[in-house]
Amino acid sequence: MSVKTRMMKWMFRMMGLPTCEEVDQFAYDFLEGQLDPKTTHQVKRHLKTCKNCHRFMESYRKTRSLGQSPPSIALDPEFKEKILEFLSRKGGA
Amino acid sequence: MSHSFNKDFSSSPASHLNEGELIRGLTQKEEWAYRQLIDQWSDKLYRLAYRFLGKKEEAEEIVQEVLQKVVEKIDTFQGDSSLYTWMYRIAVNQSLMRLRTQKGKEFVSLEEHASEFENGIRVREIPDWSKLPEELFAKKELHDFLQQCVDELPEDLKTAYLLKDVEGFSEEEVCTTLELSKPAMRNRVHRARLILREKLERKYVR
Repeated sequence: MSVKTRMMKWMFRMMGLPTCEEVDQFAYDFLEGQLDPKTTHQVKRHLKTCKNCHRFMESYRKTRSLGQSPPSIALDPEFKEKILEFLSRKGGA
Repeated sequence: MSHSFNKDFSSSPASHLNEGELIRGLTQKEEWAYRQLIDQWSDKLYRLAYRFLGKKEEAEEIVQEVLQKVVEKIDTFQGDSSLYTWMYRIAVNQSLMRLRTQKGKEFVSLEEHASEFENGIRVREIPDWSKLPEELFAKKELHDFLQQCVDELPEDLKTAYLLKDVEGFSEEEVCTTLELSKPAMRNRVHRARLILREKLERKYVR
């Protein structure tokens, strides 16, 4: 395994691309559009070359979107009425 | 009481008021301002507290505590940050105080994740579960599982993750609310996502 990974690391270096571990570290900035254009381009090229990182990035992106679309949770309207009464009492409205 | 709260808060006529008017109303102890405060913020605060604590009753108590503090301390509100950033900071602090009193919380680490690399190269094949059927992602079971995973996150990661990814705060708003630098905030959200991604993968494809 170590020969294979050493060769892959060498290949990425020769291509001027980040390693898988670096892509992993860039994931947040990449998805948030915070990377500079050159690094963004290099990450994209790495993702085209490396299936594992491509799958990682897609599932990382999905994880982010799942957090952004949680089922709706709302307070009971009756409880809101109780809070209003409570605040009015406390605040002296 | 002439007005009752309904689920469509955006339809409230008072929702068009700006923050300055609301603060003035609260300072003058006007009932419409209390109503506006509840209309506009109670659901959001409840959602945040519920995601921290996972219990309806405790989340309701947090909402009441936060709004009470806002009403009591509005005179001291300096306006250095926005009203809602201030409210969220109170909500986060109150929720964290409660979390710290809960015993038996086991947090996860990223040690396993770090061992996925050798010479900077991934050594484990990553399945792409993002292509699973959309119906799965809409299921309550998946969101319940995700909530359970969020519960298990270390407190600092959970706080940053909830504000950024769940509440949809901008980076600046998260940093102001948690008094964090941008690199620290980004690092926390990233680590939280890595842990959650890993757990979803283990649950659904491995």
